[in-house]
Amino acid sequence: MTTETLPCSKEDLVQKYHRQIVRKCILIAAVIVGIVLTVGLLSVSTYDSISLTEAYQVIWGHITGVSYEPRSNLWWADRYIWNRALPRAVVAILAGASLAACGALMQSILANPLADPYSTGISSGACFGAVAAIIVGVSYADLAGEAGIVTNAFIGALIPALMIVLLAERIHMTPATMILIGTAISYFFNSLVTFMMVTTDADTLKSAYLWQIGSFDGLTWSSVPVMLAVTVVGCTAVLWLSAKLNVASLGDNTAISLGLDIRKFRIMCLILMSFMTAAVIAFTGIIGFVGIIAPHLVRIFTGADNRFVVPTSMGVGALLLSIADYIALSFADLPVGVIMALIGSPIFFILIIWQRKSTGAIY
Amino acid sequence: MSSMTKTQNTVAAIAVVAVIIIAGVGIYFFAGSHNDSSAEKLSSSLLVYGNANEDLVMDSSDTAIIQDIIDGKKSFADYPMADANQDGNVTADDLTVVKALIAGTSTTAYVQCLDLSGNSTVVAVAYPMKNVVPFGTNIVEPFLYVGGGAYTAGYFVSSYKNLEASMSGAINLGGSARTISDVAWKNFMQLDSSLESSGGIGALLVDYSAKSQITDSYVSDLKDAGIPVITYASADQVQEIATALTLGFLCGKTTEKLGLSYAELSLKVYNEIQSKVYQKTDENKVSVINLTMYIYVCQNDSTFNQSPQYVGALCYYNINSAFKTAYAGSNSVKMEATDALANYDDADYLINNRSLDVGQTDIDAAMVEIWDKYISYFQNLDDYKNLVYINNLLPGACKLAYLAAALYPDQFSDSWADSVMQSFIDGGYAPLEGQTLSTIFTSFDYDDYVAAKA
Amino acid sequence: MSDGGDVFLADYLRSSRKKVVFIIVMTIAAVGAVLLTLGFGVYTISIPDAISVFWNHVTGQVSWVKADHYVWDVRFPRALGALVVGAGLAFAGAIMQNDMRNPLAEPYTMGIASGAFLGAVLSLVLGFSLIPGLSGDWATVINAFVFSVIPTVVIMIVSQFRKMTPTAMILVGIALLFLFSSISQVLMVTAPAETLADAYNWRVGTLSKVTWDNLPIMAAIVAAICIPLYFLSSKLDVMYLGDRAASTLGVNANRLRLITMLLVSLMTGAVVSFTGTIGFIGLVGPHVARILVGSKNRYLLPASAAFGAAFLILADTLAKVCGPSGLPVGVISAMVGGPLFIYILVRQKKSAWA
Repeated sequence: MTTETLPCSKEDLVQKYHRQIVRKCILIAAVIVGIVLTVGLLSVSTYDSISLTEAYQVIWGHITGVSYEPRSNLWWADRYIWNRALPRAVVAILAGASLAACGALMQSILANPLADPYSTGISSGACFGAVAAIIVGVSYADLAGEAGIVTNAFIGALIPALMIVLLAERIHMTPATMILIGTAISYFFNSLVTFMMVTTDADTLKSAYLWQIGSFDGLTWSSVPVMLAVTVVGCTAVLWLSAKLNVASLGDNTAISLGLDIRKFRIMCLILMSFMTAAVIAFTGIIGFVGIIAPHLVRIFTGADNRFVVPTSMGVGALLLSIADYIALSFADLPVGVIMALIGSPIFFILIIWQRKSTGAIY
Repeated sequence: MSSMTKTQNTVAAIAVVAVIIIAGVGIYFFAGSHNDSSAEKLSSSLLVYGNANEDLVMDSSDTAIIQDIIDGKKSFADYPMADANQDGNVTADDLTVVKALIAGTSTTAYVQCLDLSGNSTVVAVAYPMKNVVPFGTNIVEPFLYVGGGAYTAGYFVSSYKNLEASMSGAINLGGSARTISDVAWKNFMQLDSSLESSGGIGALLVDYSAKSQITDSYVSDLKDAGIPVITYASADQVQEIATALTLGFLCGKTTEKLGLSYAELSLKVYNEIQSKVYQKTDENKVSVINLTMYIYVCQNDSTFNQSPQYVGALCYYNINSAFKTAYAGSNSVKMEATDALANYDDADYLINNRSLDVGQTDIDAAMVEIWDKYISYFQNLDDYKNLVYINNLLPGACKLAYLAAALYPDQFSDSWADSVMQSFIDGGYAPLEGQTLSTIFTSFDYDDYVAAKA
Repeated sequence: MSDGGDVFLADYLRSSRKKVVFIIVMTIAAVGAVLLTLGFGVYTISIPDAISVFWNHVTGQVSWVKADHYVWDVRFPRALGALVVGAGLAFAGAIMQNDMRNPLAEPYTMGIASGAFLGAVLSLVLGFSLIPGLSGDWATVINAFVFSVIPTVVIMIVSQFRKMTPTAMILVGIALLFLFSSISQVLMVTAPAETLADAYNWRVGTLSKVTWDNLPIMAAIVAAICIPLYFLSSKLDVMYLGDRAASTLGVNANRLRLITMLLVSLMTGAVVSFTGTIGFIGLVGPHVARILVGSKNRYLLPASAAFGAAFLILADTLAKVCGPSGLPVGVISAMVGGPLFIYILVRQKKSAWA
């Protein structure tokens, strides 16, 4: 990976290798510190009428059971920070980590640097489920409301994965085929979504559109448990698999010759990723860019070894979404998905224009 | 002999005439005419408990009734609105409350309104109401008409800058017309705590058609804070009258006067229209297709389809079953192609409801542009020359007046509708302050179009 | 000349004839569908009646004025528009798939769709028009056209500075797509609900805005670009073999690619500005045509165009009768094109890609 001339002695080589590992660990630590700082300094300061120290006092007070005079500044601040700001910050971290881990996973098993968690059509399935709940749900007296939308989206997200798994029995499933099938499935579901959105009125269309863009609005602690459970289990699984991911990203033939049953592995990863992604987007909508960009940004600094890429991109993903959440709450009252798109597209553009083959090229 | 005969003849003549008159009146009454003797007069009522006789005002007749109930001369069951403090009984405490409401001193008022599921409910609110936050165009407008702008602490969005200028001293909380975002709610919270010294936010007024934006977590915040939520379905012109009256009453004496005059004026216009159309039978009524947002056809149960019925017209879906099936959905349908209404051009009138702010500088130019832009959808219909654009943003009674003038031009003239509008302009309602008939878009039909193009 | 050579020649001529027959059959189907579609729509008129009204107008004896308006002024230009747009998009798709050597390429691959959408959103939401003084539909059209060409121009410029492989072009197209769509999203999210609905409906793609005013423009542009490109078909075949192979055969693949992509993007942009981004025809049309006539561009290009035209006009006929006042044709083409595409993927004949 480096172009320096190799020294003659074995000890120097080992020392250089250790130094690189240390550098990568420092990077991971730096990212985690970044997350802590972002959440600690920014996310809790979004309530404008109290200062940062007061915000900490409020958080501590909530844990220790201090109560405030109703409708006073601190009383509202307590409710806001605990019921809105903190759940959103937690969701931002979970969603960012989850999506970035899935992105790294997909990029490895599809051996395609442009893959993201949505390459196999999951987002369109979730969209279909949610939009059906929003548009059809509006016709009746509000039955399940929010919960209905979430469960619909979750189930909908798993349908494309199921289809691919079923097809994998019959067809020779190369990465290219998987992407093609995913694309075809997403075309189909998107057409159904379009049909529903075109035949409804303007207000419902706006609600459905806002869901699709991806936003943290209205999320409370009730959304966190499912996401937390799936993300923790899923990310642990991805971390555990990261050595095998290195093998998988070398291509089918190489992987098989190194002893990895690539086809089964690919399907297993697909199922894992589908659950992780579904758990996130069922609550937040389709947040893009994190899955593609986080791994690429990380590879510029750590190289392509998945044992470092996966944890670091989880951190970078969480950091990106936390920043986007802070921007959404403090400056522009826009959905997080839009802010992520505004941050992510220039980064993506730069990555493409300035990529170097030595650092995990995009093409 | 002759004088006796003359007197007898006179008496006989008078007797005969009297008999004929009596007989005629009798026949008229008992032989059964097509209709009752007069149109059913619309009345409204002040939806505050203590208004025992359910009229438009809280006054001494209400205290008299309450006193009678306490004394046992009248029964509580006949006057359900007499329990002013909602404790289940009519006692001297109710008298105290009503006297305070009449005098304008502070007390707790109990308001009859809707809850967020659409059921009738009672909400307690501090009287006089101040630091109000309204949400939803259909409740913002009546509130502002009765002078509520001075009592507004914050609002979520203002889509109509001129009409809602009386609110401009209040804080814009953010969000949009159909969504309350987390940031907007954060601003709402901060507003409440910043007003702590004056009692915090007095009430949240909600337009029932926007109720889905008040999510469960917001509801729990409101309940824990004890902020009253007053909901009305005031998109309907008749409901709007009670809404304006009640909201005006709640904010104090100044707005109470405005609320009362607004209600009385609206009722007068409504009953004037009714008196001329109540006798129409279905064969005489004209049929109306309602459109909105220029090229969306309203579905059958849209609130727009209520208005024609108030002016004695029929909605087209009542006479064309194909149309009824086609537009039976829950949303308005966009006219996808220019022949969307091609099968339905036996409708008498096409009413295009459009909301346009007041304070326009060149209405004719704006309307000609709109007319020309969408002309391809309408110009080949037989009822094209009966296309009328009407401003949905007018006070309810004005909108009904212009609608009546459009649908029944021989019974209601344009100048009469203009006089109705002028009486509202002169009524001292803040949104219309300083406006004239040439700065408010009221209605625009084919004749106006031809005249404007010339 | 040996016997084997004669047999080979006869076989070759027969298969060529089959391909020509397919093209002719598709064209006749398209034309027939034009007459058929005159009877479809919200306005109730039977097909024979519609055809006779049409014939009356052509021979100058207009009797039934109202029907004549709907048939001649509304439905007939819309049907012709379907032919023009369908043919143009499918043709463009075939060229793109040839240039990119990628079966998933389509006319919108270079970010044209997102550029056009951004232009349309700027006009619909902000009322911003690139040509001051224009408003309404024409502002939307001009905006959409200019913005749709921007991605192609950027790729051209970048390719002057570094050699762009087809993959690189696709990637830059994707990056621009993201940029444009993120800006569009911001505008859409802050727009009032009706404007959002307008913009969304624009993107879905509809033929209901085709009238005698804008049909000649679309037809002229499509013809002016497709016909010259057809004469390049043998060079395109050569380019498909790969850049190096092409240069040994005397074809400058790079330059040919840039020229064809620029022309195709201009045509697509022009068409899309009027109708919105109707999907799938550019993607699926060439695939279907390829299954039936093979990959030789001399037959593939006209076959794609003919199939695209027939497909779109049938889709539009269906779209006209769904729902109270019809659907945008983009919905139908997506709903039919999606499964069709899946079917093609699953049953792909390897020989078609030879």
